Amino acid sequence: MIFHFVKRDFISHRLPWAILILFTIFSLMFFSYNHLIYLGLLYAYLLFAMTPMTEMTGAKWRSQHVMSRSYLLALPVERKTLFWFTQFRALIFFMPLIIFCYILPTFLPEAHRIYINFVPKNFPIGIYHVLVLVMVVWLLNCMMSLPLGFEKVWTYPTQQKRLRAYIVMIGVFLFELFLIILSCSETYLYASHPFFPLIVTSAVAFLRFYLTRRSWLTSL
Amino acid sequence: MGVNIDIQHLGYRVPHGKQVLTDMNLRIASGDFVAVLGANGAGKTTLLDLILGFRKPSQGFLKVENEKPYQDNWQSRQKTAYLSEKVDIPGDWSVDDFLKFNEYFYTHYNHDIEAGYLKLFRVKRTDRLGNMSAGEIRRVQIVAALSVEPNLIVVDEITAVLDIVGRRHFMSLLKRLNQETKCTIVLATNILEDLATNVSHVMLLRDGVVTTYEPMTTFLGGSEQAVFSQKVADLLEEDQ
Repeated sequence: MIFHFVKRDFISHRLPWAILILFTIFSLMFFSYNHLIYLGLLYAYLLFAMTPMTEMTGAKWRSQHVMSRSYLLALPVERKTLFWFTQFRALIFFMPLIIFCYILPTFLPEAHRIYINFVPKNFPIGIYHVLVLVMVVWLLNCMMSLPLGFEKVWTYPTQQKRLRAYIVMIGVFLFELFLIILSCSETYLYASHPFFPLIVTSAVAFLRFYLTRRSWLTSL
Repeated sequence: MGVNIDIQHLGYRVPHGKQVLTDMNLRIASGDFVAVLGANGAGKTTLLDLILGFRKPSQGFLKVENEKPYQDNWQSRQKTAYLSEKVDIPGDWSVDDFLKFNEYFYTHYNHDIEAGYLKLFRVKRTDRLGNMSAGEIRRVQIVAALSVEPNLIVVDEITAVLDIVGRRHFMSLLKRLNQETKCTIVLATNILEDLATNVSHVMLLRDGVVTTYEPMTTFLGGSEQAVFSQKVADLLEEDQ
């Protein structure tokens, strides 16, 4: 069943996929000498991964020509399963970013010294690969749970309650981001404990995943 | 056969929000065709959301065939048709794309029925949803939803966007399905036209409270069917 969704996603997004592939080929053919292009590709892949999120979770309110959440939830599919499908579908759109982050240190080991701090010196590459995946899981779930959270906040009756909820939501997100950056910071923490960033990021990603799952199951 | 819907002391409060439904007690028997009527914000859509398990009751319970829908008894949705103005489909899909996507999930999907409904509602498989009007998209949804041979049909105010002929076809079709398959139908609407001749029960909601729930014959009390709209309007106005 998952491939039924994936196939549909691919058909609906074949043009963005084609543009992304052409953009990658064009960039690497003509601008590979300039390391700035890798930063450009990184942003392009990130943007690409973020675009189909509304379609994945479905629109809560009437929004003509966008897949609606009511339709998805009314399908004869277990809602927990549907949540896993949504995670997997979203992960597919992150694949260019994941692959890019995986292969860049191999083909461009000097990248970290120039513009992009992909892999700090002497960082175990195995941990780095797992860390990239865990960060993607965290980011993916942030992208799902924040809009779901905002949807809920919009229904709060007073401006004071809404404002407080916005501050809490954004504050939690920024705190998570801060923890991840701090744990990965070369200067401070990881140097003598290469597992430290992995442990912190995994804990944050797990928490975010749990919150997203809970929001999803009570999303209407 | 249809399904029984039992509602006991049902209440629903929006999280951090207002009480939408209060102490609702009723039973929709298998084979009933119920029209849910009420002013805007009376709780019609919330009731349907509870029937479909989109929301969890705050008080009491609602059971469809002795199961609580919010507990996600997803197999029962194989035989549930949900038609709502809230349901939208990506505009870049064709009718054929949507029908194929949709039928995949239903093991009892009937292609012969689908072909018949496509003809009845004048829907072309090749048309693109992005180029269709709201009413035309609803017709596509009707075809998709009713081709699963449902035993429960939940309709949330889609008749308003259908044209006169489309609405008449839709209401006649619901009545025929109700009579032939004995399916249960819950229809929330503000369009009273054609209701008196088609539905078996009338439910009036006022601020989340059921003020009237009775068979159509009792509701009309021997009056002509033509007075139905007037009577509903009078009762709703009286409530306000």
